[in-house]
Amino acid sequence: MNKPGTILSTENLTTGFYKKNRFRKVSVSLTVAANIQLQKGQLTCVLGVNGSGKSTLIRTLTGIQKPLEGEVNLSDKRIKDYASRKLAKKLSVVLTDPVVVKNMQVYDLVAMGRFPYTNGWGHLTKADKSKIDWAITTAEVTTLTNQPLYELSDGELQKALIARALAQDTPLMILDEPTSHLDIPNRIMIMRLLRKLARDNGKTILLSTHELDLALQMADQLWLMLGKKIITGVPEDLVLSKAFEQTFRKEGETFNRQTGSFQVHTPWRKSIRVQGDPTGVFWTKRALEREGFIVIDEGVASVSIEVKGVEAYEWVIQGKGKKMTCHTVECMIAYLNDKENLRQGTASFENNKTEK
Amino acid sequence: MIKKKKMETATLPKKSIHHSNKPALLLMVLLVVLLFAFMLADIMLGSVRVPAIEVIRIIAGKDTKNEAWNNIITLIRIPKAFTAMLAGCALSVAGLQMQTLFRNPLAGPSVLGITSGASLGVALVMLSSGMATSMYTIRSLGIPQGWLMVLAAVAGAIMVLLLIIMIATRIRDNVVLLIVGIMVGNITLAIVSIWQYYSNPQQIQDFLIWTFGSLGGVTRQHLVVLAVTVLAGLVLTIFSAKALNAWLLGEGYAKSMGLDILKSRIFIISATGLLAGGVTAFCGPIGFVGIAVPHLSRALFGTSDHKILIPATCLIGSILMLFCDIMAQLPGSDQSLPINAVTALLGSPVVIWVILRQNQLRMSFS
Repeated sequence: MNKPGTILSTENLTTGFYKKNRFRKVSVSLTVAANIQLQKGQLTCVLGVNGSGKSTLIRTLTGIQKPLEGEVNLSDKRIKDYASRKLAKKLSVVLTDPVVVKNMQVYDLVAMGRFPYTNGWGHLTKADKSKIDWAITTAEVTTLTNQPLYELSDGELQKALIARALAQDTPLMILDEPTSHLDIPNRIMIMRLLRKLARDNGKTILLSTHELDLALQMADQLWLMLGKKIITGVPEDLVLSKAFEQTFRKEGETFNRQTGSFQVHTPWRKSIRVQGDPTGVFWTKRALEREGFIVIDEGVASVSIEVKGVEAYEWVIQGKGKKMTCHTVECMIAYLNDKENLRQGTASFENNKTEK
Repeated sequence: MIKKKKMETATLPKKSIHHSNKPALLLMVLLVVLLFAFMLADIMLGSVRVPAIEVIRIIAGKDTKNEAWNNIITLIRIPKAFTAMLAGCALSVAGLQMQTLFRNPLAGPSVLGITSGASLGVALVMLSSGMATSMYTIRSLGIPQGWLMVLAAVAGAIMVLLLIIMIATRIRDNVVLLIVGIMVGNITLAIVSIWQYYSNPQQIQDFLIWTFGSLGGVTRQHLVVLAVTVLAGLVLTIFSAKALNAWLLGEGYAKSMGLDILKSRIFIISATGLLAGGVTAFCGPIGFVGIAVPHLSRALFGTSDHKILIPATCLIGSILMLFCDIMAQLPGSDQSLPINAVTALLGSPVVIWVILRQNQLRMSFS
């Protein structure tokens, strides 16, 4: 049913939910007629704005929720035709449901992953135990084995949950927002771990996330939730085709295709040319953009800044026949913002002048 | 003491990442010894004190100096002690399953209205057949009527459980469940008061005595009925041990690990219905044991594994109920207290302790 190399695919999949009206049930669709494939051994990220139906898609693909229309195929069968135990051997999940259970330790949690393999009493065989040990080592939670769950940090708990999914020993792992609630180092750690699992252990991994930067860097494939459609592709292609921009376009934010990141600040001031040491230029640009200047690398501008220095930086500001040397970014910004200095001739300065 | 133990295991570097259940086994043996000690004490003590040696002689079937002692022990105290053990075990195990299934630390047969549902079943049968419910009338019932009462109580308990499941799947809120439990209790009270309105004073008094709870109303014949019901419930529970562990992680994970949610729910509800319903039919609504004992056994064994928690809860429940019965007899006097008052006196502090640790509880269940 699936093409070779594809582990999961959808046929005209429409996801959504039923809303109860006073008189009848009304279906609300979030994704309409999607035909998408998940490639074996790849890390795929689902991206989309809040409310775009990421979670609903994830829940539908895992079989937790029924699709409004269409089918989900896993390996060689429709997902709804799987016996629950068979499905559990093909697909493991990390959900956003809270899991902290009194008295439960990390080892117990990971051991739960063997559920579909153990007998009716839940006895762990030698093979089960070695799989648990492997999952614990691979997910890098060895030092936490005997810790109760409530003592773990959010990042550690997420790793323990990934270890549980690993112990379930499935070719496909689906994770719903594994990086939410985590700080930046932990987000990177989780994404690196998942990247490693895909590359080194051949796992197929699908996850939803809000981390645009990380997804662009780490994912083999992106699924963008654009309107009611899903656009798939390699991250770089989606950036260049503007699909990325369209997905996340919002008032007051601009997507910079050169850097692949969103700018929170919209330029409103005069343009400034910046040249010099690359590292110095990078941070100078950031400061200037925050202040609302348009930064250009080449061409004519009424003000230009040259960044000099290797260990101690220096900013030489030229414009309107004046010259100023600063030793900190703070000094540079203060100088640029001072109306009496280089702001002569800028639009905002003229406004101020007429007010006077 | 438990905290200290935890700290030791946390600081000691473990050679292997595997666990061992040796302390659990040792504790279990200790509890069995304790159970026998309390059983002996429960049979010995009462308005007439029988020496331990004589009790053992009578149980062993040997002759005794005092024929009255023989009658007291074989006809009254032994059935009562076994009833206490069965009731304590059944209510506690029912409470354990409900706390896990609903992921709610305050769940228990009496709190969620399961015992009320069972009482309602009994009350409706009694009302329609014109019998009065009291330990005296229960004593005079035959075996078929005994089964009828069990059937009514179990049906009542399962009906309430189904209602709660229906609500629990729609509204994921612990408080809502507790409110539903209270409401079911109110409905029972309302129906009972209608019954009382049309009853004569003797019947009202009988019912009041029944609501106090009683372990002494079970004859040897009825003890068999009760034991079979409780045993069936326990067997179902043991079959659910693995599933109960999966339920700890919530429905989403349980389903993703290949648990047949519907089948497992039916198993757990039937087990809970048999356990709580069976006991309520014969002993009346006994409160607090079902909610308190699972917490005690979790604290004592420091595990969340139902393969250990089920026997542990059963043992602790039995011991606690025997202790309550000994207290209710007020040793050394010829007065006695209603069992429900004693379980409330002992159980309420545990419930308060549970609520005071709510911070930890929020993290551990919801």
